[in-house]
Amino acid sequence: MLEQNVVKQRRDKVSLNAFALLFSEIIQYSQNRVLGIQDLESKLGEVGYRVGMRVFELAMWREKTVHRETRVLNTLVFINTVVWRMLFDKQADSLERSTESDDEYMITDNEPSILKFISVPKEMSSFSPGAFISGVVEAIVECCQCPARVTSHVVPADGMPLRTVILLKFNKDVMEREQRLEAGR
Amino acid sequence: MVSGFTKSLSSVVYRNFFKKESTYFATIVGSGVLFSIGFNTYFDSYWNKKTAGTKWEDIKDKYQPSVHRHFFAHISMPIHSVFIINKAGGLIYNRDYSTNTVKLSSNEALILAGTFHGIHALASRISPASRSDGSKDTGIQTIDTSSFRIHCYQTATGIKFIAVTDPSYLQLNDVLSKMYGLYSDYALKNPFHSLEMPVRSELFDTKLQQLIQSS
Repeated sequence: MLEQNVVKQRRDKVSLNAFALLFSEIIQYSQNRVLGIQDLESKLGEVGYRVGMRVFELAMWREKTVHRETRVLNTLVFINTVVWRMLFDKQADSLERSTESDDEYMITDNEPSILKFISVPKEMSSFSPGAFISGVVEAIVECCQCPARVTSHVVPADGMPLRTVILLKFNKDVMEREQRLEAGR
Repeated sequence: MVSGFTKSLSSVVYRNFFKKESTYFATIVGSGVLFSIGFNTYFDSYWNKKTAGTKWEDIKDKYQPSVHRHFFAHISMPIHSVFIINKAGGLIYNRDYSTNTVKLSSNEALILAGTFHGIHALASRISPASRSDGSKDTGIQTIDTSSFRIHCYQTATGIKFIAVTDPSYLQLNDVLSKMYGLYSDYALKNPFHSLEMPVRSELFDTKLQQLIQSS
């Protein structure tokens, strides 16, 4: 595995079962070392953050057609398509701007494959295992010079108990820069 | 007016259908096929109406041996309940799927699981036929009574999947092994499940329900 060329686009897949076991073990391990649900989510986010940095670098290496984005919308589209395809072999199901405030965006995945086997017990119903994915996203927006506070929420819909929404709230200075760039054009 | 209309209609028909040899031929074939379909459906339905109640489909229930079906016609699902026993004999999952079985209290279910585990172990010990490779007998696979049948499927790791069914169910190993698949997916890969402990996973519940309804 290590001897293979990193740059080459590879289409070989990682076994979902093996990954699910590993991921479940990560959650169990972190669970023994935290105080509450919030803590657990931030711990998973940290793990995801480290994954995200590497994913970003790899994407820049591999994908010939993309370049380093610095604008908010381009970054989001990059995450929605390229990153999601690299990680989950499909595009995210939707990318929306929040109706309430301009600096909030939502990426929705109806059925995150890495959460396929997880069912959250009732007493922890506020826990969202998608915190891992939000960590990945957070790292990538940071690498794109658009730091944001990223959280994940489980929003069940009909037949999709693990529908996960990744909520990005961009920092103030990012939005100000966006406006300046928009005006300068 | 009317005669002019019929005249123009007939000339249209003539031009479109009869004038050219190829369309004339197609018209003949097409109308023949359409007529035969209509004729067949009409006379089929006429025949069915005329002979209703005397055909084999209507009366075969009277002649085929379907004792169980008559006996248990009021039971919707033929799998009454499911138990999962861990390798130490503890009950880790139990669920009833039909409405008119006797409800076991949780204590009774635990005792049942322990007892079954015991006799299963006994049965594999007292096997008279010695195996060439020295391995143990597989133990109990089914228990029959006049009103139900217990199926047991033991995995290589010693977990037992047990289903109580209607006695007409002879083979259930494929369903039970699918159950094992669901268990290893939705229980073992769930980070909130601990080994040898009762399974509490909503996804496992729903998937198992679907499996049992489809079988």
